Amino acid sequence: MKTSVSQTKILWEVRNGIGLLRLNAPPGNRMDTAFFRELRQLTQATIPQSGVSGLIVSGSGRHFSSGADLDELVKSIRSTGQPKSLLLNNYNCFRFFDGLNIPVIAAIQGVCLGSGLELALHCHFRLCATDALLGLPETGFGLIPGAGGIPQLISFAGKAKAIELIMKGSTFAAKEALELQVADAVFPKNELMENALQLAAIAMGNYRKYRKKEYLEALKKVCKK
Amino acid sequence: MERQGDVGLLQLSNPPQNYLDNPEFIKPERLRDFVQSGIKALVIAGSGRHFSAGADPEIIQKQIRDANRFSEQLLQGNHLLKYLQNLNIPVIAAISGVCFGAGLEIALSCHIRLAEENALFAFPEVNHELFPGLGGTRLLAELSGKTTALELVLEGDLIDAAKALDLRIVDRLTGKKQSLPEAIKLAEKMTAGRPLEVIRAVMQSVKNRSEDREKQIRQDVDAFVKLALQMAEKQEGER
Repeated sequence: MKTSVSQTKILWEVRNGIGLLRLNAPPGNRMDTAFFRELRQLTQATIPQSGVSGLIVSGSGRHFSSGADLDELVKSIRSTGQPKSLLLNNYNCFRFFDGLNIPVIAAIQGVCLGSGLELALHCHFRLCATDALLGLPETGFGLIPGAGGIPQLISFAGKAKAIELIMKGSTFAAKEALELQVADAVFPKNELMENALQLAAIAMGNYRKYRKKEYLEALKKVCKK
Repeated sequence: MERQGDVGLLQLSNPPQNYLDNPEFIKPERLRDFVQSGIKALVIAGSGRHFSAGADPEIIQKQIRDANRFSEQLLQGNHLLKYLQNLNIPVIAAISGVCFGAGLEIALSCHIRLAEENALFAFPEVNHELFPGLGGTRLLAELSGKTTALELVLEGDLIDAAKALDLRIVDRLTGKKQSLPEAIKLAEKMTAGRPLEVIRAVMQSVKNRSEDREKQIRQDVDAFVKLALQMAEKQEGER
């Protein structure tokens, strides 16, 4: 299917009813203006029209995403007459995923920082490879996580841990992410995608967010076989 | 009250148990001045072995004779705790020894709680046919859920630090006598090199999240734009 915007920064593919969205600007899969333009097209048209019953978000190459292209973002904020609507657009692209009533799974390997983690935090599930490194480093640059990182991190890790992690701006590995309940499960790198597909297959159909634990339990059972 | 660098330290000081003679345990103006002196984080601890055993039941029995005055004091105590909860710098409780009743309500009003492994927690009010008067039930329910909060408040059970961690009442355990130094270290780590404006924007977002999600989104975007423009200006100045 052709779309009005050429998709290069994000790859989109439907396989067995599952949408595969891949951030595609390796190595870091940085989120720049072109990325958000494509993400907007995807969230406003392509994905809603696709009829997929599950969604997996991942990154091309070794990493999920190192986050927003800060230099470019700041430049756009300065040059546009409406910096707030620019930011709000980006924010709403992320919120789209949280609001879907199909399972949305982030498959995270390598770095997942800043807006990269903000996107992942708007997914319903976060599966991490053992090498995943997560964090919201914005306060170290004199900024704040401005696209939902704060409220979403609180939802999973609780207020106290979220304040600590955001204020420190430090990164945390997959194992700690699991303890913080930011990650739902951790897998060896080469089994990550397979498990994400498996989880999508388990949760799709009559999907309910409140059954999250059951889906993860079912995934564990499949893994053991 | 004292300052250690950018970290403010507030110690409840009525040893040995640090009983609180008044629900308004510090004059709000004093606290406000202290906060506005530019501190980037506030640590609350008890002096000596204990955080605070809360209100002294004997004193309450005397205070209650003047019901109007007592309810006024209680109201002011509630305002004070609300002020702590809404502060736009991180507030960390360093909990040692006993942390009961109004003492626990102060701790629950902080954003982060560190407790020593031998600390003890309880809402003993029910034993005196009272209940937590500074919003303790609600604060506890936010962390542990309604069922746990009601059980602890209605039974007056004493729980240890490990159980408190399990129930999310505290966020981290420390060794004996380590809660205060660790709380200060954490406060420093969280705020070193962070402009007050960034700290305030983060804390404002945290607060907005529990009050009004749409407002939170708008204000996060506003704050980000403002900080980004400042960052750009600063970078240009350096060039």
